[in-house]
Amino acid sequence: MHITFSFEIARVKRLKKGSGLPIQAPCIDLIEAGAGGGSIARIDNMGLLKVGPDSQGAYPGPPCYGLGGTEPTVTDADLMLGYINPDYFLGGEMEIFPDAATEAIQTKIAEPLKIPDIQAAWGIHELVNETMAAATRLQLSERGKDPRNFTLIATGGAGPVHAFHVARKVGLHRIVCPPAAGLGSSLGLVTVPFKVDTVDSSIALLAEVDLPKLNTLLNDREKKCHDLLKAAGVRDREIRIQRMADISFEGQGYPLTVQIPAGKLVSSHLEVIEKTFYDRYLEEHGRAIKDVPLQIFGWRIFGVGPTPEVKFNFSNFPSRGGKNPLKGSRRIYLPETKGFRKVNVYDRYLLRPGQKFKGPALIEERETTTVIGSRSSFSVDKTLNLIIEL
Amino acid sequence: MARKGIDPITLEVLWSRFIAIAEEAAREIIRTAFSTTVRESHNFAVVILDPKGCAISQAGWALPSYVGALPLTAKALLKIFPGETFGPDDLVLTNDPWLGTGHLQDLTSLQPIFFKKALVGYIGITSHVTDMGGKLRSPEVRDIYEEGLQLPPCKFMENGEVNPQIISIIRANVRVPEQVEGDLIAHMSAGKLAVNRIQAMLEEYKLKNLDGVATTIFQRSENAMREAVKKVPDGEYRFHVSTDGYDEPLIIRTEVRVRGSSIVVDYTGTSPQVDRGLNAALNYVFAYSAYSLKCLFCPGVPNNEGGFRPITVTAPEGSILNPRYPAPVNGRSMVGQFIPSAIFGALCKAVPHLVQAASGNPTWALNAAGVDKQGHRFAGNFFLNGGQGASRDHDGISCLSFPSNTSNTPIEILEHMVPLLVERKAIIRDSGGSGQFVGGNGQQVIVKSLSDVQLLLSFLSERTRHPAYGLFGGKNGRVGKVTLNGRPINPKRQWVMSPGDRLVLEVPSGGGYGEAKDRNRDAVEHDLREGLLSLQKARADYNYDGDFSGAANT
Repeated sequence: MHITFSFEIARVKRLKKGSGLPIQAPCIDLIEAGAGGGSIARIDNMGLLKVGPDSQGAYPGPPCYGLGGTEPTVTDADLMLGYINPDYFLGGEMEIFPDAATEAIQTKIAEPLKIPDIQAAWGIHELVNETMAAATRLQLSERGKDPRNFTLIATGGAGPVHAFHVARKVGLHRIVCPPAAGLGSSLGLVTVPFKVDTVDSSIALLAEVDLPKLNTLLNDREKKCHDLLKAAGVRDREIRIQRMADISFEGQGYPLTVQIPAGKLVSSHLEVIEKTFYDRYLEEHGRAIKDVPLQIFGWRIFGVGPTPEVKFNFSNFPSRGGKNPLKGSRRIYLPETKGFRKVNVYDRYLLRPGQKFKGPALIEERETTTVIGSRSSFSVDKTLNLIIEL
Repeated sequence: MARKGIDPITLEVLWSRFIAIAEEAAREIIRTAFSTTVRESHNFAVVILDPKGCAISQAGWALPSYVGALPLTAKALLKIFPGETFGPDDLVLTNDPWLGTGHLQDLTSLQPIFFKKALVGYIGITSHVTDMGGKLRSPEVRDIYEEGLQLPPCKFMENGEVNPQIISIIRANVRVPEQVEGDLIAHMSAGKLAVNRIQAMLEEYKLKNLDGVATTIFQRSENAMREAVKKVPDGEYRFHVSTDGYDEPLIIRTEVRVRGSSIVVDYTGTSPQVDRGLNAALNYVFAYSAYSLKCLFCPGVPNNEGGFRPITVTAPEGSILNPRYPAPVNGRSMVGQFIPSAIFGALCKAVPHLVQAASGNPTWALNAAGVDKQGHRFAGNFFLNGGQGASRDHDGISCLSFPSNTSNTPIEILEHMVPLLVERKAIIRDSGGSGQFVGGNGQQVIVKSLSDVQLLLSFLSERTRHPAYGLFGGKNGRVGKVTLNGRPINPKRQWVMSPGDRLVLEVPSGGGYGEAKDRNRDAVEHDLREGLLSLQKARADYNYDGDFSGAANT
């Protein structure tokens, strides 16, 4: 997970920096892709297939809802590809019309492009994946991160249907699908440790930093973190302090946040900081300029309490298993074979920690289906997260 | 339109990927660049090119002048350094204004993309570095030699090793050597990233090279452009615009000839070249001409070689739009950015629904430099945008860069870089040309020197005498003005700012579109409410008879 210190919400323009409202507080760095199950597929004036960014709302919704929608959407394509079970949409509560999906894709996409229906359906799925993958890559590279060290968290209705192929495109090796995805943020709030962040912006060259003054500042901020955490009920010995600095080469506009040594800083520490920065910079950008002084943007002190012991008891997940999670099989489209193949379908609610299975497979739950492709395995951890390794 | 080879879906995926890769490389440049012109104002471009130097895709926030010129630069560089002279970690560099983008401050690099030992294309990057030596950027110069270091095409990097002689020549000639070298490293980091991504894409889609995809992209884009041009009635459409020039106005005369699916833009009759930095090399002229036409006819098609093919641009040799070496060129935007106004003016009868009234351009800039008492040298250039011209169904946007794509430099950055205090930065009320759709307002910026030494000032400025025209009854925009301590000055010249001096810049506004009497009453009240329009002007120009109490009137 990546924490960002400056985040934007309510962007007016998709992916457009500066078009939203800034939050200058640490946030989980969310990536906005603007593509989903309702994204509409159409053909543009160059005879190319486009998916989104315009989206079909819930009513009349995708043609497969049978409510009068005629524009083919990603959900229709997912249905045609076998990824969504028409008999178990919203746990079987909502009737779905596969023929309407096929007809929309056939007449609006496949026939004009003179391609087979199934290729059109896969094209829609693939394109929306490409949009999500492009957004992911862009944000990763903006932060200079290697995708292999990241985990894709897939939630919502369409997320788990597409996560596998997005991860493969981006080069991510791990996907986590939390249970009760719809409640993600409120559950998260009670499971994270108490944390206090302080930041002092101060622009100066690293070499010219006034160390006695800095030590006073850092001490003061550490004490403040302790006081606030203690006031929240955290015991003194459980508090961990992290110290960071925002640094760039002099003249650059985008700092990297790097760790600085603990305790009283003396002049020899400046070299340590310089080396930490230099190594991080090379790691992120591949090449660095020599002999340019380093510039400090600010200092960050974090105080962190212990991770609370929380045990969830989801009513729809049986607490003691025993039943076989394999509920049947279904034919789905596998891109590597360019055809359909029968794969196992598992019941998400019956998967137990410690069990491990191989892809390709489908995992069904009420709100979504997780699609798992070839050359992969999956299991659940003790808090019932579904972990996919690829 | 299905053709053999690539199916339309794979094509769309690959095409999106090409654009995404260029975007990713663009982000890398912003993250690593030193020059504020690059990282804050986005004066750079990343283009992915095929082995012949034809543009396949570009990053979205690139400048039109760079995007249009870069493929021409690439083709010229490949004549000097043919493909077989490239190794995987080489970088060819130049700032030649005639081969490149029209002035020395832009460095253009070409980095090869190798895949399985074969050369499959190039990454082209242009960025505007903080300094290239010479006189502070000002149209006052008399020839190219005054403008700074000229770097003819050279192998700046070979096998991943930067040529130490070239870098030391550059460093010796520029005022901020670390920043300029840092900006060159940004080219390398971004190029490397884009090369890696393209290799991964070729691997993923089991392709040998880019050729099949590139050809298809070019063909489809060309077809789309030709289809759009076919809808324009054949004919010769003429227009001319005047610029302030240095002392005397300069004329840009254009004839746009539409025949079937092809367009020729001919600048015969344009003013002869001048011995001030107000000449634009033909690459730059081509770029803005092609951009104007693409905005009119095919805005939705991503930029690439194909879209340029139906377009021919000619300008008489020895004119301000095709000057002979060693003409001074550093204020080339002060003539070249008038091109859209000339072309839109010419085509306003043919396609009245597509054109836009003239904008309060070219993009203005304030350059300030000096040496403080501690001996630290400081320099910075800061961009200020005027009001955009209105069009058939839209007001012009205030303070928007057109036709360039340059962001305003934030006040915080300006104040951090040079000892200036920005006392005021505000939209100038009532300045946009009235009309059914109103021209965008310009801005006023008041700057005070906090320095204890003298600062050297120069500007890019225009339309202080020749306003942006309105169309179809819309009024002209307001002209711009520069005053130093209350006295109007000729901003084409260099000036000295003494401690405590106050400088006021008023950037021009855009022209209106359509008769003011046809403006929707809600729109008039909206502008009153937002403080963009005064009650007096609402009464005078729009016959507004309401009693708008919400107006912050003066």
